[in-house]
Amino acid sequence: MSKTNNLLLELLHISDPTLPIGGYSHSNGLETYIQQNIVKDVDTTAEFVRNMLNYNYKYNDGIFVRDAYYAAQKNELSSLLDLDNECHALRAPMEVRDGSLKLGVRLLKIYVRLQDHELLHSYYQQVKEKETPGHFPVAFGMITALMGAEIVDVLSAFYYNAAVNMVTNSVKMVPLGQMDGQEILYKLHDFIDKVAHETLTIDEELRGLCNPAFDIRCMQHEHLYSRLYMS
Amino acid sequence: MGRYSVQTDLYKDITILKDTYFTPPFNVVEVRENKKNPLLELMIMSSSPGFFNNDNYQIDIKVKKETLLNLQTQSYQRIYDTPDGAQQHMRVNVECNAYFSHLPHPSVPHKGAIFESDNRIYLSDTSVLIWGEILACGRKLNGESFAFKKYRSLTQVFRKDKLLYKDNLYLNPSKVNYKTMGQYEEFSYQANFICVDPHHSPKEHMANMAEKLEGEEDIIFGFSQISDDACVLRVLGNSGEQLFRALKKIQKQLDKQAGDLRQQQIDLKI
Repeated sequence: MSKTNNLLLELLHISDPTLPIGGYSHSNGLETYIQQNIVKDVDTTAEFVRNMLNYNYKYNDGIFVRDAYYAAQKNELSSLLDLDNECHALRAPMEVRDGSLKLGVRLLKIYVRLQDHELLHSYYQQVKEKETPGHFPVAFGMITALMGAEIVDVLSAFYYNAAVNMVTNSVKMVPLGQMDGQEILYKLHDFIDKVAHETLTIDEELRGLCNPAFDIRCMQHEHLYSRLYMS
Repeated sequence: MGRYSVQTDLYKDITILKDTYFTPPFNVVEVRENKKNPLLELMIMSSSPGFFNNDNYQIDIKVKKETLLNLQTQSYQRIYDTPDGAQQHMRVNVECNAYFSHLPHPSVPHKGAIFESDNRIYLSDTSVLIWGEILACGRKLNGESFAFKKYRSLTQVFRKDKLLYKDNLYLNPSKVNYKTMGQYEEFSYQANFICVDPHHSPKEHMANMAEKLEGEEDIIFGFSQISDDACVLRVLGNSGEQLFRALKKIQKQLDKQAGDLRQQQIDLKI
């Protein structure tokens, strides 16, 4: 299929929260925080989103987007498979792991129809044959590298997509006003830019940083009495 | 550099300490009370009160096939002011149908401590691993909560050389705000516990964890399945003693279960 020369449109497409990969159905522990009345208003929602981006997404997702992006640029399938396996081994909460897999596999299914890069198809083949799990950050990094997008734009798009999902879920669940949600999101722009730039030079010691309370709330989600979200 | 190594073997179906080597400050001592218990219980004694500047401990554990080992520590692991850092490297190899259980006392990094621990555990398809670690915020009663400079414990579990589980417990108060949402929040102790057990379902393990932790106050915890035969427990609390005691209860039951199961197999052979 032909490829547009407008990379902005390509990035907008892949990071669109309405992309049918199911991003909206995962809360990654937010639902537990809300049921436990810890996230309950604009301030606590903003704190949740910022901390998720700064401590969880950056070290457990963004770093894999970055490394998968560079591996794809070098056409290194084996590096992508190693990253995918590491991504899997780091995700202790089952629902978070499954969520990342669902998003990753659906993203791949869309893009193998749209792009004919050999690396993408080889990687997808490995996923189909269950030789590799197919995690979302790895798939996202690989596909955006193959588009030819710039790494900071890729990371910004990735974090923006995560932030939109968190804010949209908060608006529904806390609940917050639509304007409150938009205000949180708008005020995050500089922060997302900062996190995206920091991702380029993450200290390897922080790779896969354990976020104990986030992990526990994600694990507790499996046992909540009522659940609207899959994680 | 301090070093110890341990290798198990079977003698008449009972696990024995086949080989050990240690340098100061360590000593390896058998603490199994019932000599007929198939599970070998070893304690690592240390003449040092903890880690000092530039200490580097190397630990090598080989749990040979069909053997069962519980490796214990003697007391809390203190890490003193270590401007140039202190390190520990632990390599564990658990062979086929072998069982390894290890829950060291909590680590207590003092003010100014810089510590890195690298644990690599290699399993076969039929190995059982029971592994826990507890980190204290420091000498809380001395007003030293999170006064250390850096604490990092990287644990990687490999099965047939493929990475199964990776945990990067990293605390650096200058880089990560530990009191914030998602980190330690209002707590000051963290415990992690992993069970890899192809002989029992993770559901059984998680039910055991839930039962043992149910009555504990002032903690939050969660457990989750990480594969068809493995699960992880994470706990945050405000007392190292409480977390150690609670995890010890879980571990004790699993050790007993493993010993009893092996005894049944021995009885059947006879």
